[in-house]
Amino acid sequence: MSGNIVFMHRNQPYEVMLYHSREGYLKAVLGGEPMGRVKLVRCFPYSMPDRLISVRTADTGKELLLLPSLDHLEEESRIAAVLELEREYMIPRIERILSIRKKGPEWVWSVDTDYGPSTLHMSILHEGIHELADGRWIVTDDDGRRFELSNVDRMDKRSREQWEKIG
Amino acid sequence: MLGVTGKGKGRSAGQHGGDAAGTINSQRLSEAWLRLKGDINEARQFQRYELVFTDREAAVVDETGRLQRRFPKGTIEQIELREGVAGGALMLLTRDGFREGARFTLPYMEAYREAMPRIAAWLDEPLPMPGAAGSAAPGIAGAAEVWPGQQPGQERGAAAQAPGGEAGREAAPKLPPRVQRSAGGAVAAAKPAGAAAERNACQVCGRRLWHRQTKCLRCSNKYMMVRRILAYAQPHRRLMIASGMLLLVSIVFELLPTYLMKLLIDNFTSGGSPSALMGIILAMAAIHLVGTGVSMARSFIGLRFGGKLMGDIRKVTFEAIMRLSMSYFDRRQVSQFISRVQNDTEELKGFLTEGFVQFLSQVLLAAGVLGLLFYLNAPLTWMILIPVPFLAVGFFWLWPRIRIMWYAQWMSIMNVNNVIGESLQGIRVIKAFAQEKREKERFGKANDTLVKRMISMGNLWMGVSPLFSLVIAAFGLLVWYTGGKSVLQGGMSLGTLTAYASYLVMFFGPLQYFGGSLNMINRVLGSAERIFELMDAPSDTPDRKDAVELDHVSGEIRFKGVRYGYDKSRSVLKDIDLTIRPGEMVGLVGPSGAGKSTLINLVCRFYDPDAGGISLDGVDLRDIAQESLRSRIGVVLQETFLFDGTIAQNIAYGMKDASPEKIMEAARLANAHDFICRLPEGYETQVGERGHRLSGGEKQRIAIARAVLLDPAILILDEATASVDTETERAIQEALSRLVRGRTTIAIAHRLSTLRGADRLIVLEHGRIVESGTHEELYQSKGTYYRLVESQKQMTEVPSEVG
Repeated sequence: MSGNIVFMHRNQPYEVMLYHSREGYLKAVLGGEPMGRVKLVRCFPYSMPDRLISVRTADTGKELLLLPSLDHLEEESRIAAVLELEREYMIPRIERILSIRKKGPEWVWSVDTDYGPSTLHMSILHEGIHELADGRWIVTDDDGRRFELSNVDRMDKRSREQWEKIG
Repeated sequence: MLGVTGKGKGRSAGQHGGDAAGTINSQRLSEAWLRLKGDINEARQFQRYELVFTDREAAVVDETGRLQRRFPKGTIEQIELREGVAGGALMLLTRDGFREGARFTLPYMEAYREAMPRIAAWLDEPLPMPGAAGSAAPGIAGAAEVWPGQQPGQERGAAAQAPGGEAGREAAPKLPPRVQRSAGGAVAAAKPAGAAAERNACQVCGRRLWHRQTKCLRCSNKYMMVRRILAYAQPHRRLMIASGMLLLVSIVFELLPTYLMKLLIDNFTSGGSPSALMGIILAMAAIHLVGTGVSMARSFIGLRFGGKLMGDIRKVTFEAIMRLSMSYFDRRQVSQFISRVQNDTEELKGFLTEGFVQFLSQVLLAAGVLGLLFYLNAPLTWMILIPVPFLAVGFFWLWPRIRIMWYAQWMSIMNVNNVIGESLQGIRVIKAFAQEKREKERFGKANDTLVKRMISMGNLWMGVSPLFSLVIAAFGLLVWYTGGKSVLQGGMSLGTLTAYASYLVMFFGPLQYFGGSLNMINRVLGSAERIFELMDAPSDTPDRKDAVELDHVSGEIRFKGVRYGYDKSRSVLKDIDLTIRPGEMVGLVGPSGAGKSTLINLVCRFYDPDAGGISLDGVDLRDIAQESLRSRIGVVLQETFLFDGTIAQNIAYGMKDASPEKIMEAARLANAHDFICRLPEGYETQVGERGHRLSGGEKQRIAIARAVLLDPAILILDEATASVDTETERAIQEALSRLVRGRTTIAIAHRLSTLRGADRLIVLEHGRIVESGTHEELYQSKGTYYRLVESQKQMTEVPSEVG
């Protein structure tokens, strides 16, 4: 348990290697010691997707170390980590709001996301929108899909108008 | 019950403790070293009087200064304070048996408790030699004041050093702080006890006050109330002035068309010119156009003004709620506050934006119309003013009735809200006990009452309102008849009569409005009362103006003669003397109701002790700014409340600007990091009312992380591991053992085994400390602690029936 705390305050670079095995598993070598299959956990998946990444064993979930930032990794390891995280975390980020309409009993959102265009159906609007921090929201539709919505101020005029209708 | 036995038994001859009545001379009062107030006489009737102690006697003096009874000191063998429910009595054992010195209600109790050690010392002293009049009571120079109410500051701490009997004699020269020595003459200084009771009464009507204002709300001037409401409009006065100006303009524009109508009709009847007709029509069109513009402008301004105002009032009300002390909420249902913040502020806003302006406009309109009526036909106007006094009488008849009915209706609304709120809060229990039907019935009853009250209110209004209309119609006919005759006789033009009739309707309109506004004004005043009641309610644990901010805290907590009871007639903690050294971990042990949680509530200063004092590093808690104090105290309770938000936000609740790294470290120390990382959204998982449900143990660890992050000098653990399984308890215990290191810790645990790590155990029973020591010491002494441990052992040895 002490090892991973130490890492956060380590001055010396700690040798961390992440790579995908032939089978497609993410594996780690820490300080020259092969650790086998690992999984990556974002501690703050929305506000800090590339920082504070917990590296854990795939089977027991024991924490091996905590990466302060992906930038600290060698390029190859970093690419492997980003790929793994992208596979693991599937929370589309809403980039444009095309429309928010009330159709009968439900609210229908048409949005463009980094995952492509999508339509969200929400029967109880206020229960589906959670504010994470100032200007950062998680929108959950009736199917339980989550979308990240942030920086609406920087979106186009139409998106802002749509958001202001309900915000 | 406090008892005091006299030692100096020198009986004075001649004077028996009797009911000799007579005017007490000023000498007796000037010799008094103690004056205590009583408010119930021997016949169990309310009567104000004083029990006066001089060095030779105790005497009962009524309000007018007449002597009721006297008890020469030599005849008193014993003095006993008998504490009953909601009051008490000071009993004197004389040769005739026990006699009642004074009987009093609860507010006076504290003064008697404080005074008992000194009375004991007085009784112990031999009688002064004859001729040595004026000599002071033992250890007491001059007169004294005894205050039953709260005294701020450290002084109170010292008071408790003299708990009774002999100690009082020792402590007497130092004078307990509530028994203050006067610098001036005895008469002026001997302010009677019971001042606090007076402080709890309205200065005007004498009714009991709920929150120690000087005046009760019934007696508060309505004018003052309206002024206070209007004060909220002060920051927006520009908007209000603009609205007022537009109002004046709109009234003029409201009056003009009718006058133009008169000109128009007169133009027809007197064979006027088409150009004049055109002019009048154009003027009327212009007036309507401008009038519409003005009214639109007024609406826009009103909306803006109202919105801002509503926000202000709501903000101030919420701030007032946050300022109140815990004891305020202990006594009330919480759901009512939601209605106050929302509905009552809405009412006030309604009054300030619409009601007040409309009221003014109606007054102005009525005045303007009346002027025009006199201008058109003065004699007729005098005639139509006849019903005005009757309407006024009706108004004053209605006012109190509507006021009461409105209040009753509000109470019913609140009752309905409370039933809903309570049922929702306790929905689990209701379902578990299948009590839905009962709750439905309860709601049905509250709902029926509300419906009934709404109907009776409506009935009253519906009964009165048509009468108004009838009166107006009757006078309208009268005008048509009288005016018509005048037109026929040529005394008045047809135009004037038409205008006159129209103005008459306009004049009675505002009068009718005033009737209707009764309702509105009552509602607003009711709302204002409730909001101001919140704002005016002083905190029971106020911050002193010169309260200190804590710089560095080493964590020494000292209780000195602390007594406290939620209900003042029943002390939960009594005579608590305890010093907790910096960094020491103290475990509080005792049966339920022994006062363990109360003790830590006092450390957090959720309440102030009734007597004695608590100090942190030598500074009385009442002298420390509360925010500063609480930022030094970390609390982990049995039930952890999580706010709507992410786990990270909840951990950082006490420290908003904590970095994510710090939050994670805290979680790690609290053994929470791993389970948090197992959640898909990690530290950004939504928890609280609307979020992810965490188990009891998980919530507990979040609470511990909260405390770790705060890095407090003092840690309070109230049954922190009570609601978790053994496995989780181990994880939590491990986290806690890291947390308590180097901090002053007070821990309560039902499972005594969890307090093994404590440096010292304090055993409380019936509000008193009965034992203190380490686990081994206490166990070996075979006292209360031993019994508790043994009974728990037996419990765990009994095999569980299920599983």
